[in-house]
Amino acid sequence: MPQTHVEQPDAALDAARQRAPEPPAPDPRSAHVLALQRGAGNAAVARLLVPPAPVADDHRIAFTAVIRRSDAPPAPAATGGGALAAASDHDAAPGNEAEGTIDPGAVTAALQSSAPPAEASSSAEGERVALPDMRVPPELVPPDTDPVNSTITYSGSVAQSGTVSPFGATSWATFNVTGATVTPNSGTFVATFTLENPITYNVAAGGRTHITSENDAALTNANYATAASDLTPNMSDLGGRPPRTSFWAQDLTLRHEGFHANERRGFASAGASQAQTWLNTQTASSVGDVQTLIAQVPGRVITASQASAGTVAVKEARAYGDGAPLYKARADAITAKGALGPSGGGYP
Amino acid sequence: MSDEGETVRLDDMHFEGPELDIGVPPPSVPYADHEDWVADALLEANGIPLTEEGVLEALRTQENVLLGAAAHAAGRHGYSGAADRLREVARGPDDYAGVEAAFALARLGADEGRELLRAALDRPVGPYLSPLLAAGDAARLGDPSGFVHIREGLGSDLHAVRMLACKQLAFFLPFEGNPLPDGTMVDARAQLERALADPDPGIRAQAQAQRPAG
Repeated sequence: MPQTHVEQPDAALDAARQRAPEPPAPDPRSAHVLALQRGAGNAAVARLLVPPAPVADDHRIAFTAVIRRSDAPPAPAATGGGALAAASDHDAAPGNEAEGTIDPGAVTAALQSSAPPAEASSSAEGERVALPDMRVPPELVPPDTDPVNSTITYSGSVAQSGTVSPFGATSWATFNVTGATVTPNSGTFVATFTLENPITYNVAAGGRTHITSENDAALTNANYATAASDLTPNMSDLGGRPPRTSFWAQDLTLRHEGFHANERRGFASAGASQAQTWLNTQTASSVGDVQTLIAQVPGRVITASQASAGTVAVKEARAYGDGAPLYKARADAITAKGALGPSGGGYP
Repeated sequence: MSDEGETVRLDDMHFEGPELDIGVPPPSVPYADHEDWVADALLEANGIPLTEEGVLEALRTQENVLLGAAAHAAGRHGYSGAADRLREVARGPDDYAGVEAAFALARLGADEGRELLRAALDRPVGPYLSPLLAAGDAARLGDPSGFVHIREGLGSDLHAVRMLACKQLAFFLPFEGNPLPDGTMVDARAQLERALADPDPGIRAQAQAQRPAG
């Protein structure tokens, strides 16, 4: 990663600074800049592209040191301790700073291992020995990151389609991310996209006879009691699940699955808003990073929807409870008509 | 790679979620075991065997809901052979599955799992739901310190936060009156009453499902 600022602790060092050759004029489309962005992140590249004043991005500092000779071997370099928090450049808003750390022990170890050890005691007194170059591997230095500023437009749809097992099912966990754009601005990645959520539901009879109302032609004096029982909500079972052993009500079952579908659309809409809040706490160093974050959004929306639903029994009780008065009204009407008898206006 | 100010159009992405229609647990399943039942049912509904090999394979290949379910199942069934992979999931990018993995590790007897659950409490509630799950899981393991998140979550404007916080209340009832790190005490019964008065009928029903008998 290019070091954009070097604090000079000593004026003598400053005087001894050797300036690197002038870099080529920044060309926003040059491979050089693109490679820098890939390696260093948008924040650093943004500063390189639009500098407030000509600034060299490569500083070299000449060191001259006199080290007292000792027969004892030097103390081993400390490793693994004292990581420095967030030592890279940041444009993040307060609270959004990246959690990159630099471990000085690891850097020292990497420097030592990047060069073969000098031969011990092979130099005569007064003889200058050239040591091999040592380099810090770039992977030890965290990249610059910028916060993500996202706008998610949730677009849920509900439709009756598909084949399901009795009595019905709702499929709500399909998502499409469409129209996604990412703009790497100075200090932030602006991301916008639409989260499509096509929700489908359907029902199946499983061999039961559909009873549209108390006037359904399938009802007879012999079967109406069973039909009424089948459609009577059992209030001790999931808030009113009707037994439906031989008869069912397709329209009310559709209403039940429609309840789930619409509820899931609401949960997912809220989940998308929550995912946007999460996305806006994240940082990225490249457009590719933002894309990776966006790809996590559907999973987070599913998690939020599952959380909103509560336990399975509570979720089902809401939907059965919604239909229970209608089931009861139909069952009661069937019972009332059946009580009239075949000759009194009841069922044949 | 893009230049500053240059808008990049990303390819559309399609996400096909797993089968989530798992039916209803039998009434014999106690509240405390509900998530165990759900994890197993999710795996079975998606053709994942509940054997140690099957769960381990799911831990290696699945993501999101099924990754979390596999992690949960590994702990529930005592699949200690999954511990290494659980450690990876616990520290992975999916914080919710990570909490499931931490809970599983703790159930397998690893103190590391308890520590990871405590660490999960540091995430902000709202952008993240996982601290609420971690709070409940830690309580199931005897540590009620996450109750402060539950209390906070019950006052959230976000339905998912309130519901998930509500779902955990039963695990804190045994700690009623215990001191908390913020100087307050566990008041799970009062919070249950609070949830029973929530404007959302679903949350009221969820609270009702946890109300102690009598």
